[in-house]
Formats: sequence, C-alpha cells, structure tokens
Amino acid sequence: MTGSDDDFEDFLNRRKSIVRKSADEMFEPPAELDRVVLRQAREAIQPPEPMRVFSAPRWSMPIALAATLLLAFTIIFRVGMEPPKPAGEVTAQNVAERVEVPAASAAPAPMAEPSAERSRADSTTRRMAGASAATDASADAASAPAAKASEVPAWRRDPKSWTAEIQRLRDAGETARADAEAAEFKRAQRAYAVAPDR
Amino acid sequence: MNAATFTMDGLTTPETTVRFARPSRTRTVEVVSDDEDAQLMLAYARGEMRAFETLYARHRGALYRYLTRQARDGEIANDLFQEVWSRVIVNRARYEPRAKFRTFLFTLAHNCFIDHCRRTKARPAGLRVEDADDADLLPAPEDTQPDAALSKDESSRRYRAALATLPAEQRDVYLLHEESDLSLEEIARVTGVGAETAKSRLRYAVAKLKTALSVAEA
Repeated sequence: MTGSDDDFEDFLNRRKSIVRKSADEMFEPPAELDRVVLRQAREAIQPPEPMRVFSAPRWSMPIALAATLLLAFTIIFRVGMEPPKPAGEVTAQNVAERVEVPAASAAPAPMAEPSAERSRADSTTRRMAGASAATDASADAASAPAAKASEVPAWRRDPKSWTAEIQRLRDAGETARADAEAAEFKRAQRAYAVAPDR
Repeated sequence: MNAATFTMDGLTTPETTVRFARPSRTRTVEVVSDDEDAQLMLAYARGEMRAFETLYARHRGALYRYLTRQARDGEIANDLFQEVWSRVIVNRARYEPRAKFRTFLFTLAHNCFIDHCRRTKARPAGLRVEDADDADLLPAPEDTQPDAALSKDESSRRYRAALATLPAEQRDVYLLHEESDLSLEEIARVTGVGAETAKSRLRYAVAKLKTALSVAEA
C-alpha cells in the first residue's frame, strides 16, 4: 500500500481532510430561506379550511329562527281559533236537492216518485219544526200551503177566543158550526198534546 | 461518531422559536443517528411540526453547502434548497424509513440538481473563467502570509476554484462525502452507481484537488 493509498483511506475514514475548512466554509442558508421552508412545512400539515360558498351574516340565523317560529304560531292560532263549520243538516230534502237526476234518463213513470218524496220531506221538515202552530198539526193542514195559514180566523189562534167563538155560535143557534168548531178545537188540542217537543 | 465545528449563534425567526446552529470552531455537534431522523420524519408525516423543525435544523447547513458548491450560484442554490425541502414536505406521507433519512435527503438534492442542469441545459461540470482566473492568481497558503484574514479568504477562494476544475461526477461524489457524511455505499446509492465506481470517482477527485491546491500553493 502506497502513501497516497493510505492518505485516501484516511480521507475515506474521515481521519484526514484535504483542506482545512474555515468557519467561512461552513456557511448556512439565509434566515429568509429558513422562514420560507418552515412556513411551507407548517402549511402542509394544517387541515384545509372548508370552503364556504355562501357566508351569511351572523344575525341571519336567529332572525330566520324567529321568523319560522312566528309563522308556525300564526298558523297554529288561526287553525285552532277558527270556529268549526256547522255541518249541514242531513235531511231528505237536502239530499234530494243535492242529488241531480239526469233529465234525459228520467222516465215518465217514476216522475211521481220524486214528488212523493218531496211531500215526505216537507212533512218531515214541518214535523221537526214543532207543533208551535196548532193549525199545522193535522195532515191536511200540513200539506196545505203556508199562505193558507194567514186565512185562519183570528179567534182560532187563542184557545179562549176559540171556545168563546164556539159558545157564541151555540148561543146563536148555529149548532152544526159550533159542533164542527168544537171538534176542530179538540183535534188541535190533541195535536198540541202529542207534539214531539212537548 | 462524526464531529464538526460549528458556531452556536442563535437564530430566531419571527415565525418560530427554533434556534439553528451557526458555524463555529468552539462547539462540537454530535451527528445524531439516522434512525432518529426517520422517526422525526414519520412524526412530521403525522402532523408534528416540531419534528420537522428539528429535522430541518439538523440538515439545513450540510444540504445548503452541498447545493451551493454544486450550483456555484447563490440564487440557484437557494431555489434548489427550497425545492428539495418542498419535495420532502410533499412526499412526507409516502416516506418509508428503508434507508437513512440523510440518504433520502441527498438523493433528492442530487436529483434536483440534475433536473436543474437539464432544464437550463447548463453544463454541470466545467471550469468557469472567473474560477480559472482565481485559481491562477491564488496566493500562497495562509501560514506563509502575514495577513491571516486575507489568507483565509484567499484559501477559501482557492478551494472553490479547485472544486470547479473537477468533472461533475467526481465533484458530486466528493461533495457528498464532505458535506453529507454519507458512507461510500450510500453515496453510490445516491448517485446511482456502484460502490466501486463511486470510490474510484472519489479517489480521482481527491487526487485532482490535492494537485490543484498544491499547484496553487506553489
């Protein structure tokens, strides 16, 4: 092994250097470069901020919440305070009025049937109206039009005047009329006694 | 165990409180084990910034000197230095401690410099005119000069000029040996050649440097 080989081995094993390095040879990167690298390293490990497409102002959330609550309470109050609609009275007349019978398909024979049903509906209505009017108690009176009720004599509207009128007819010798009025008076009184609302 | 002389001038950056060691003749810094460097790199990959700061403080000087002497231009060296650390940062998640971190770091630096040479189509080797002139005009060694400060400066210039005379491959191997403290096998791995080739290049580089420096001294 030659001397140069020994020197190279010493150099390889770092026991000997070719040049004696001064402090100037041990220069280092500038501080600005350090800052750049460290900033880049720091930014690389920071979690990315979520992208916000729309950034609403801070007061928007409470305002939106209050508006929602106000709307909800308004709807609740309006629905809760509204009086219930009265259900339509289910009567044969109402049903008959609502049922539309096609005119083309209606045969001449069944024509009597609606009129009979109409009369039954009228009687039901009147029956439910009560027996406040004594003249409406009989079936004939019930089928008579309402205009005829105004032709009833005034003394028939009060039992006392009606009995007084019967007595006057008897005194006058009109016995047949007095008996007829007495029978009518009794019929009216019975009708009043058996009225459903009594 | 390897040792180097550094000055312990603290450098505090506004953004960090990391203190980097500056060159000194009075302090001996121990070269830490590369396993610890690998652990620091893995810790940084997990998000620990402090680990990167430690890693950076350990290797910034050697890497910067390697790149500066390779590029022979301060601005280019700065760009390459930043690029190397950028690659370290970007590749942190893919880092596997199969080799020493120092080997990994200088492999990146070597590749960055090669890429730079390809981009600029610059000759990675060769003697620049000003370096040749400096070499020809180099004065005697400092111990024969009365002015020690001037001698030191001229000695440094002579060293740089001698480095510039080396072919790129030999200078690369020599600088890796001098600045990175890598072993011959690790240098061979970094440069992508066999260990014998790396050793041969290093032997030629040392011989040429000795000759250049002795001629300059003469």
